[in-house]
Amino acid sequence: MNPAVFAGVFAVLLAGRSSERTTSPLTSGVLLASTVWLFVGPLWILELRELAGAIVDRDGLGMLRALAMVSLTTPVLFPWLITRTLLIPFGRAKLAWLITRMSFWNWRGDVRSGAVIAASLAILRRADQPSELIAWAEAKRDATAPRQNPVRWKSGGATIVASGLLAAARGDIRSARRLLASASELVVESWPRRAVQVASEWLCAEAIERGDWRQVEFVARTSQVGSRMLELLASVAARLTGVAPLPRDLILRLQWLLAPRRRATRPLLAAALATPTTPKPRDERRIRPLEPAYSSDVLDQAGPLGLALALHVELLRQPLEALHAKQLIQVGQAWDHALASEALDRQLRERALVLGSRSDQALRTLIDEVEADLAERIRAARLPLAGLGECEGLVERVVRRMHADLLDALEIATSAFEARIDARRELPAIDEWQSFLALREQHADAIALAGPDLRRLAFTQLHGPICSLAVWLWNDRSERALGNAIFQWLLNEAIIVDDAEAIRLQEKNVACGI
Amino acid sequence: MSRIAANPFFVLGLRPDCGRADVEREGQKLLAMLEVGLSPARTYPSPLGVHERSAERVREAMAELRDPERRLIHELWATLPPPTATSTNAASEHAPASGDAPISAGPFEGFTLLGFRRATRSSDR
Repeated sequence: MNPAVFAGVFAVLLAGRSSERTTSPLTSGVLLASTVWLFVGPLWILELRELAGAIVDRDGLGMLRALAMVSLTTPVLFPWLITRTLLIPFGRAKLAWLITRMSFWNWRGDVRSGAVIAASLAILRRADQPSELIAWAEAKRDATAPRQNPVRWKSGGATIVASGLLAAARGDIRSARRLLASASELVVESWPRRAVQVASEWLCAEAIERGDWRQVEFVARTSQVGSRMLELLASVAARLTGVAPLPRDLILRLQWLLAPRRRATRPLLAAALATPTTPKPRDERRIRPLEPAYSSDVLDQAGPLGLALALHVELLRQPLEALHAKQLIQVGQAWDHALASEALDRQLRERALVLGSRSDQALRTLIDEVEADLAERIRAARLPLAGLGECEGLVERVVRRMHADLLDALEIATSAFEARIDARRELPAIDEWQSFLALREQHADAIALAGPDLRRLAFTQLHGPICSLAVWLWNDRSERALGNAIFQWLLNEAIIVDDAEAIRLQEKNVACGI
Repeated sequence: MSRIAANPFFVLGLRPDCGRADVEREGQKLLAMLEVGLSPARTYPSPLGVHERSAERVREAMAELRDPERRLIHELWATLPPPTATSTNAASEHAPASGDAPISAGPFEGFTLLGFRRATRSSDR
């Protein structure tokens, strides 16, 4: 039998075998990669010898034949090298998927999803990113291989990473960010290291695009899987943000030399080297507020309404990072004073008479608009409502309304979620995961504003439906990795809100593993 | 924010005590200036900075001020004129101050740097 044909048949057989996920990916990856090398390796060496011999003998026909054989067996032995250096950069998505199916070592544990990640990376590199190709990759992700025995988990970290990259290819950056950040929350056995490395690097790239170097520093330093690129990015971000520990110039240069894509990352190195090596004090890292738009002379002459407006303008002008509760309370007090003043009442009556309109309605609209502006700024700046809770008047009304709105929104979202789970309306596994992430994000946003009191209330609402989803995924749908990650999150929350019963239940669930 | 930035009085460059005829006259004048592309008509100041003025925005402002109920609210929001002497402090719509981090590096094309997107030649941009 021709060695190349033999190698091809052998690799295809093993690629089919690789769809069976085991709980010991390292062992299976090593075993498969070793078997490939054991059988195909000697053939490849033999063909290399033949090629060398043909070159020495100047045998043109022999040279061509040996070259053809080498080029056929090389992808079997070095699938990821070829995919990474040739197929992904040139956007050959289908070929990248095919060759990566033989990458038993690099994607050990989940070769099937690793191949979809390779295809997604190739799609991202294309200038056009056709929707048919994205749909094809999604179909490959969702395809289930015929199996003799049911598997314990079908979707792991690599499936989530592949979905995140495909969301990015579709232009849905928010979903991509959410999915890619969640991949490493699954137990380590359910994700290939390379998948999480790709996820962390993509998250850094996206943060760099936004100029959010603090996020780059956070992602690169806390990634569960390190890489030379992530090390370089962590150091560059630390230098640019001034967050200690700051690397010295020599370390930066060394990390840059060792990292891939040196030519592309040279501007990053230059920017980092141009930044001083001394850490910035916390105050300096804060955004400084803008100078007031109105001078104190103007404010002295302005009446209560003018003063409230001037402070309101300052509140809207300031960068969100520079806003603080004290400023908001000051604006609220100024408005309380202005709205209760006789001058405003008189002004409204006079103008309403001239214009032929109603002064009471105008006052009501003005109050609504002021409250809406204040609520929008609190939400955008993520100012904790607890810090504003002691106020009276307008700010108190805004805080009370926001608190109620947050709880209502969470209740509506949870009810819809619960109704679907109770009715057993099944979504694809990755969509189930996304629905959990969306609910969790809404919960996180709400507690960031409303504080620990709402956290306890929200947990009692969320625990039941989310636990039902996790149990469903774990027991009936062969999605134990996803179910286990959800149990883990519920356990963490139960510990934070100190719910003894939920802690006991979730400890038991988490201990079931995958 | 648009209550102040897009307040009809600021869009038309008028004060709240102006008459109805002033609104129509100033609106038509601005529309004519915008039609021929005169640069003074292209922007207007508000307490929140300098903003772009378009014919559509001018027409909307005129319509808002024809409604007495809406006009009364706009008058209240326009009580304070745009800052004059300290106008350099005001944020501009073209160079927003909000969210600017004190990091001078960049901007960088993160996806291209890290190989998630193919680099485009400068002539393609």
